[in-house]
Amino acid sequence: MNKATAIKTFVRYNSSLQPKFRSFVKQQNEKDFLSKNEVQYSDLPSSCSRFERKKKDLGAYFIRRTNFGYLPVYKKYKRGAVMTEIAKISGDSLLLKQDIIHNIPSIKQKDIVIRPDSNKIIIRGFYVDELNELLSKYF
Amino acid sequence: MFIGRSIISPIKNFWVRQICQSSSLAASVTESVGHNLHPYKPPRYVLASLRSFPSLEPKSFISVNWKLLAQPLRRDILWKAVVMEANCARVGASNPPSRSQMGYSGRKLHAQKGTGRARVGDKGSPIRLEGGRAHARNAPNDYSTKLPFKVYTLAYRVALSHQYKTGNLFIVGLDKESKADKNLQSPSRENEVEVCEFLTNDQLAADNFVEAHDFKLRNVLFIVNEERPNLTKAFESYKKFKVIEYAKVDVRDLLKANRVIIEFSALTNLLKLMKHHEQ
Repeated sequence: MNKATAIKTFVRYNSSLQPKFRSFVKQQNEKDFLSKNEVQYSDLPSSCSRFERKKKDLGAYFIRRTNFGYLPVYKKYKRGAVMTEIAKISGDSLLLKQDIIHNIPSIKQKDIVIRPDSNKIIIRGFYVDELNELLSKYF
Repeated sequence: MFIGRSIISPIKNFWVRQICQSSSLAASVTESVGHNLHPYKPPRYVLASLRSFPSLEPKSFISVNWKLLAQPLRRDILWKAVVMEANCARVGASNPPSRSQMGYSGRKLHAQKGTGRARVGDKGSPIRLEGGRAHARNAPNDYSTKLPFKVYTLAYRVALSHQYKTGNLFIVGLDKESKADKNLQSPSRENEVEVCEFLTNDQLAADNFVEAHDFKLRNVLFIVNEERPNLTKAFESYKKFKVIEYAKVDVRDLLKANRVIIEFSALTNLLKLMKHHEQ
């Protein structure tokens, strides 16, 4: 995508986004290094201890938005079938899988698969709208 | 045994994965009573200590964006980068002669029919004992493959993050604010410097350094901003020690090293270089 089209898509979709995600341009420009006076406690891993727990107690996950403020939920075609893919997951993807099954009953256990290397969730069938509705409440 | 290993291991992995998934699934079912999601915000910055050189003592600290030092481990992306680097490192010197390069005549050795023998072509045919090589190629052969820069730079970030997570990344130098701090400039630290460089090029300096930090059996990688002649000369006889400028570092070097000692200026410049290529 070149710069002009990037700006166009940004303008088109930024208005439809929730206000808390409109500042994504600011997020992109966040500094690489902060000195010890600039950094805030809430930014550091010690404030996020729930995330650093051992594998046994893992109980949280996070889905990063894309650079253009979307949720990373995509429609894909594989072997002629429609798939829905959730990318950019960090944390406990197994728990997210279970939560999705609880919240969207039409998704069955056998239709949902985790790719452990890239930490993606792949669902057989088209569930982009349902997932966007569900995940946009939290991420 | 070799074939057996290569066939068995994926199946084994499959079963291990299945068992892991089923057991942790059972655990998560009991935990999630309500049907709410369990979101959590990961850290945006991580802390890294800034050290002085020969002693590697921490002097100050700095917070680094999670994108550089706290990436989740992506083995698939590391694999892609390592394979690409290995492909690009191939010299491609193999130079087998083809049937036309053998120096033989192109004459048919005997008639097609009537001799009672098998049909033949010319003497350089690859099916003959002294024939040329089928599908021959000529040096230099280019085996290099390509990778999108965004994937390749992500591999650098993942490799650096892995070294940071395991506690094997040592950042040498000071940021601007710490340089102005007068408490850090004590007279007893006159020999300490903010770059990876010895005062002499004597091997004794390297010996002392290795002994003090117990680096004897380790692969150690120095990533420097500019050429450091004393450092490279002192570590000349150490095979496991590498001194590389920031622009010449491979992902393979970062992964092979047990300890990575990087100058702060080299780290910032490496980041600049990666951002330049990503655009």
